[in-house]
Amino acid sequence: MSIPFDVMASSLANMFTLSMLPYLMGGVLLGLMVGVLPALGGTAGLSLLVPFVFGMEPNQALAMMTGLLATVNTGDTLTSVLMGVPGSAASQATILDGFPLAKKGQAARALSAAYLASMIGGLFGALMLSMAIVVARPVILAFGTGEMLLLVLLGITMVCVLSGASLVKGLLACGVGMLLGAVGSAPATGEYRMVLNIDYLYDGLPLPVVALGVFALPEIVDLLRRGKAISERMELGTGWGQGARECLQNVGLILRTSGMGCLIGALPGIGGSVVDWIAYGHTVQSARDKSQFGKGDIRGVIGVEGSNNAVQGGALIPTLIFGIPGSGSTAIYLGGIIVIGLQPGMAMVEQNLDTVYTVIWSLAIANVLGAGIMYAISGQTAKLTTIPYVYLAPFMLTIVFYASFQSGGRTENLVALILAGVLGVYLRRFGYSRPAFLIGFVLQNNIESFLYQTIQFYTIQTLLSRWLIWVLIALVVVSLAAGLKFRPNYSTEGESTHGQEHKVGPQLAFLLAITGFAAFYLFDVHDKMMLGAVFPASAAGTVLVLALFALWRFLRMDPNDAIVFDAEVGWRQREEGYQASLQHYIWWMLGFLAMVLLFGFMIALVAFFLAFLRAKSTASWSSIGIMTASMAAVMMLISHVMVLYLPGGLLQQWVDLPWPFN
Amino acid sequence: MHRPHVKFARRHLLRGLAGAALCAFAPDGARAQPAETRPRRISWLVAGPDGSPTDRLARLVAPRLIATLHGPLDLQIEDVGGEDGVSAANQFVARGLPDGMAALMVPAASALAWLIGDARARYDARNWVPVMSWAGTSVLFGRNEGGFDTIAGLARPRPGASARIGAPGVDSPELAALLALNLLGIETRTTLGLKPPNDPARAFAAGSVDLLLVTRGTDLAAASARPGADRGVPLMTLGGVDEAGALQRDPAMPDLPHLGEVHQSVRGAALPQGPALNAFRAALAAGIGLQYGIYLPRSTPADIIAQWRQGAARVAQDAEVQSAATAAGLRILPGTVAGAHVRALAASPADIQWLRDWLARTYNFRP
Repeated sequence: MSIPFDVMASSLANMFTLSMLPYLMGGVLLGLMVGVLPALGGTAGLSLLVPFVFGMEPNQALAMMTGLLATVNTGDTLTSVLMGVPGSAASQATILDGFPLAKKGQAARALSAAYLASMIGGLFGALMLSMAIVVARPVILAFGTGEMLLLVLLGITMVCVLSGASLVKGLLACGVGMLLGAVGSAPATGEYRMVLNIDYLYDGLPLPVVALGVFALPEIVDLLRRGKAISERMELGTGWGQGARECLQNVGLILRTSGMGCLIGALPGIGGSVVDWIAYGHTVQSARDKSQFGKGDIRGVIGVEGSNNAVQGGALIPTLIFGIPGSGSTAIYLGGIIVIGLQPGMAMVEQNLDTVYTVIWSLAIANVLGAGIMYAISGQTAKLTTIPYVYLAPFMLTIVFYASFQSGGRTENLVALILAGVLGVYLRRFGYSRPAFLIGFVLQNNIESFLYQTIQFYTIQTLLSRWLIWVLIALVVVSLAAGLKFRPNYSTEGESTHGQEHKVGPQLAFLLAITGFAAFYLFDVHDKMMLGAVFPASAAGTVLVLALFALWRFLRMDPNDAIVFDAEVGWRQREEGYQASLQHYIWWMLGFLAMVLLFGFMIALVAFFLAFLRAKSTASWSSIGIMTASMAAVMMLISHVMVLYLPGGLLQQWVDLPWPFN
Repeated sequence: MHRPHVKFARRHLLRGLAGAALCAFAPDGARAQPAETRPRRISWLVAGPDGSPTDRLARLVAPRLIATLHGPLDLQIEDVGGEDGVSAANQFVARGLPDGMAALMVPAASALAWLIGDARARYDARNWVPVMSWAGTSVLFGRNEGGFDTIAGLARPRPGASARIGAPGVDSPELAALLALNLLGIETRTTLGLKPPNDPARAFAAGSVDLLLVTRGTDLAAASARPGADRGVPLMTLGGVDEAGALQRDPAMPDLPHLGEVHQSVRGAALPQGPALNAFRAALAAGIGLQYGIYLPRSTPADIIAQWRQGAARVAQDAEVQSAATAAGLRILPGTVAGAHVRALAASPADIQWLRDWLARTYNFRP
């Protein structure tokens, strides 16, 4: 395919029209906000947006989603540098050098370098994506079913890197994700698995709801428990010019880490969450003077920020041309594309090329806009981070609830959200990688159907006679080996002191619960047809064996074994900021849920705000009233403008109430 | 679960007509009452979720159709359950809303789920009265490698080597193609689990399957333009039906013979009457003729059905509705023709049992 300059040009011109630019800008601002607010990353951010894009004109929706996707990793820098708390998972490594710089009063220098590096990395990603689209046609045609299966398996190998200290736990998390992803109808036979006669489960668990539950809720709980630690005021200091100059001096480094980011993003799987660490590792390795890393070396910031924006361009490659997501956020993005009525793959690349270029241009322009805006308003935005979390939490919780409900407009979603949230809280607490869980959940369907098709279409001989299969097998092996070798030796889910004398009960109970779940799953699918059962049965069997192995290892209680891990132990030992038990905030959420189910969303919202802010903050009744009223007004405005309904409860079934309580 | 209101109350109000129209729509008890000014709510149950293909179509069509009906009416589109529409169809029965005050809009999967005996389908699709439907096409493509590029080649006996065809599952429009091949006596090997639209096209392009059923007009070009020498050749259509329910050539592809003609040419006789043919007709109706449909309950009086169908005929002329159908590769069928499809669904219980036994025998499918 030759380069379609005419489509590129017309798409670009279209981007700057009034029908597109406001949407792109909206996406950019949302992305920056999601990035700046700790607890929400790209995955949660898109999960919040996607339920609302249906009914929008496809190109406008794409501009908005792409704008958000592109700029989360620009906005998150601010939080990482100023607060030492990751604004999103992909900026954890930014903290290593960014936070020390801020402590030295050089936050501006770090931010300036980071924004510029983000922009260059993002543009690099967009360039790679546009090049991939040009060669997409022959690539798509070369990929038969067997190749697709291996491509997805390549994504699964990412679990090794994501697992962190304990490979077994990473695999368990991935397996549980697969099992939950397989709930509902089997792709081949249409049989229903693990539906337990609950109508809701027949359609499977919705991805945005699970992603919000597993990623956003645990972070909200965690930040609430940190309480006051957030509210320190950090000065930006000076050094805007110096940071930009240093960034330009290190363009070579940015291009290298951008290349890595793009490549890792382009492999299906959720590589985005680890790419910052890989980029940081490379930055340190390739530097001559390593003495300042970790103490405030600007290169540490530049290298990481170049990579984590480039990752999105890379991750969109498999998403757009194969319909297989390259990262957690692109998994949700893919869902959004389908919601607006487009089907990624050959047809999209051939028939909707203008749409594809809308994505590419949005990505490029959003990166420039994002960096520009952050330069302009970092001072003001920094104030966001000084708001005590206790005030932000009820707002965020409400939005998470509301977005979950809108994903299909089902009240049951809220129950699923809380259950996923509880699962996420414990996965996090006991050091089971949540990105690994999401990989399993997202890729399950692809693995199952491609596995099934491959078995039907090929014999071993015909499969192995395809050259591309060998290339992909080699890539899988390399990825596995590299993943095992470079597996970070720390938990990807926070810290804990491995302890002997600490409570083992909760950990053991969680592991036993996984074991029981896998066993019950096996029982549930045992009478299904071979084709409907073969995948879930193998997955459940594998989880069961791994869980039993983990139990055996666990019961040896070797204090150096990463299998013994409880972040609560770390919490309690540090004491600093420890305010309430983990369950405490889960009860609050359950209370909110119960209120919604009983009295409907609006009444529950008001009651929750009043109760929560009164109990947890020091605000006066009048300011609590203002906050409650403004949130209620925002919800009403969104519902009214977008013509969306608010979840009703039991009360609404019995009594006819006026809007917005109905 | 409650979805947006679209109000068409006052500006369409012709007060003189309102009373009469309301009497027609109202349940018995209300008929004696004078004209009400309060708009009556029409619940439009749609296969959810928000933004599902059915939902999008409903939001386009429902307000236009309701606007053609008499009286102050308040349209409420409700997305229920998943994309297959099974939950929506269940609700449609469970609610038992008064005649003319509720409509159901679901995709093919709902009728298919009922047809194959999905345990979740607690409704009888034979009781649906279609107002209008959107029909797909049903072109069977063959690969030219392996001699599947002519009807004769397709029908040639292949001892030990069956014709390979893919389908998402037995609850898909491809069911009609599987039954058609069965009627033609062609040995097939079916690969299930191919998700449309990418998987079947990929498998066909890679030569992993020999036959491909295209059910959307928009996918026709892609199916024939395969890379290299291995081209997809349109062989036949499964056929359309006329108002009397007789098999005829697919209006979208008038050059291609339909199943009946193909059977005549390769087997030298008309299609044999019997449960296999009836099951095929039912599957063709459910999967192809009713890719999307708007339905009223069976108990609806004939005059109300007529009003709705007249309204539908006007909506079918709407430029936006037409361009949406074209963009999706579908044809709009008037209620009477859609009715012929639903009548085809009304195969005898024995025919339906034959189909379910055949699925169990051939695919080990036991829902």
